[in-house]
Amino acid sequence: MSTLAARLPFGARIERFKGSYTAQILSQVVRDRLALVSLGILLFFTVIAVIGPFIAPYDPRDRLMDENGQLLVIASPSAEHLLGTTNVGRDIFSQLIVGTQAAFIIGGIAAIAEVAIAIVLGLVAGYYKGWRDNLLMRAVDVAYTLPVEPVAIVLLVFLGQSMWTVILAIVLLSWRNATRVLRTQVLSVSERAFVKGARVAGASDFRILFRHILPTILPIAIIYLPVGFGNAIVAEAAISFLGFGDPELTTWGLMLREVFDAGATQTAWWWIVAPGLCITVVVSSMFFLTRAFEDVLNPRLQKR
Amino acid sequence: MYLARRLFSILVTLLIALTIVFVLFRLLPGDPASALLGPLSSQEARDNLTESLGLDKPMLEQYGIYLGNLVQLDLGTSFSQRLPVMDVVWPAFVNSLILVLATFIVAYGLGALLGVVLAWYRGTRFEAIGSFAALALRGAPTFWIAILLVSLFALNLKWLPAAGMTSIQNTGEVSLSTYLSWDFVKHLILPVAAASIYALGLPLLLVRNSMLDVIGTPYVELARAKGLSQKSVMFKHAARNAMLPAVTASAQFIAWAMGGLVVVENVFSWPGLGTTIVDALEVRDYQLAQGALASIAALVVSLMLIADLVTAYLDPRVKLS
Repeated sequence: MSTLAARLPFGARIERFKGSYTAQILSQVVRDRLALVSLGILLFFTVIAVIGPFIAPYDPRDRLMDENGQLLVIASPSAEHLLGTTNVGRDIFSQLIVGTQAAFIIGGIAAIAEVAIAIVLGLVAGYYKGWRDNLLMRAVDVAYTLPVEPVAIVLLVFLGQSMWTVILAIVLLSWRNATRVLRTQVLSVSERAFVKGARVAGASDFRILFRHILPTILPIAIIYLPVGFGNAIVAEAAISFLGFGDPELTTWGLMLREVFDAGATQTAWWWIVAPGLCITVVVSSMFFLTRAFEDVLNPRLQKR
Repeated sequence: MYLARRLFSILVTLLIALTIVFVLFRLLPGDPASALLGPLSSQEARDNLTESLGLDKPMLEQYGIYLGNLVQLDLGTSFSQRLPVMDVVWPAFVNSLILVLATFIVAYGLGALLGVVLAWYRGTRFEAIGSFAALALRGAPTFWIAILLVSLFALNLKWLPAAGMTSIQNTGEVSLSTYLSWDFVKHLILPVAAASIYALGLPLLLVRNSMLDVIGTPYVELARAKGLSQKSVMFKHAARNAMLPAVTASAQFIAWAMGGLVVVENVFSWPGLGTTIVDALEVRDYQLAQGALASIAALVVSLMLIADLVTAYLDPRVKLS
């Protein structure tokens, strides 16, 4: 039965390979110089994230002394300490490098989880409609009334503060964005001839959902990966800044909290600028890449 | 009819949100009383506290009492402040509301204006830089921008106060004249600026895009053919319709604003709901934290209702669908 559906003239494959999607994205990224630069920046940070702990000049938790045995308190940038040291004598440059890994793990896992949830919920709500759809859309409405940061910190107080609970809190509060968009998409795709054809041919719901509808919404779902990645990094930074992140994990957000708590935003401007700049560069690179993807999906935008 | 339907659905949303807040605060592992009183407390003190908090009753009864108290605006008592939670939360609610509304006005006013201007200069270097900056700034953490602004304008240049809502320290007395004073406005500038730098990106990009859509339509062509000035065509004819997507997106702003403002309030020690909830959680004052979170949900819901009504007023098609 299901093989019959796949052989139908209006199969989903036609939709899927309208001039090779991957090739289109690549050509768009190459043409859009900003997206190309963003991609380069992200690749650079990805490499740092992978090899970070091996190339960091010091252990980011070590309290360093100078040659006289004095603790290095807020040392200025120098050849040994490219970005100086913190108020308790830790090497800022090493913290920055090691923090990259945490940012990429948290951002990556949160983004994938968020998009996966959104795909499943979007498919169910948009395809079955009826009470499932009502229920899910009501849940999305409710989720929008629960702002990420305040609810996340409450959750973290109760669940304990670790990297995994931070990721869980972020995912629990951010699936709403992609879900709403994907559900709308599924709703319109479900009315298309190839889906109706597959149904007439006797394909199971499961097969229709994953074999026919999923490929058509995948491009839009993929857009939410960089968006979710960026938002997760910013959310983690905010949570750590408020003091509810994993206290053992060196993240850019925790670095910002430390400099703020130390009251050193005046004396050691490099300490406050460096982690914030890293977050900004990584997250906005994700956004620029997203914009290039959107241009592929919506060619009308390209002419601008 | 439309109003009644929206009101009902938003009340249901609020009820569910408040239920989630209730459940959230019962997730706490272990015994809340010993968490509050510390490990050295006596069994009797713990039992007394458990009883006074009503935590010895069955969950469903607790939920009923919770909702009943909420209707009467009774949020319990705060341990850390030794005051009814309502007395702590209400002024914070007002302070947060002022911050959100001021940010909304600045971000959406400025964002929409810049969006129109960028659409006007489409294809130029100016437009390219403007769009780039708007998107790049959306990647910057709001609290980081806030700290940078404090360092520069408050600590370095000493133009504006670094923290708080007024210069008079903690008299506890906040009256209408407080909010109308120049001193208050000076304290408001930096927090609003920090939040707006992030928030104006969305209306800016939306208005710019919809302006570009609108510019090609016949009615704008007609306005131009009538010989009206470029400025009049842009602002009187095109911009008016191009605003709608930004108005619709204001719900998104509200959802972001209450979260984003938690961090901004913390940087500036702004006595709002964000500061309240963080302070309450730090000292494990769950009653206060629960009241603050419920207030945040209520604030978001009421702002969304207002946004809905404004959208319906501006775009009568919404009412029909």
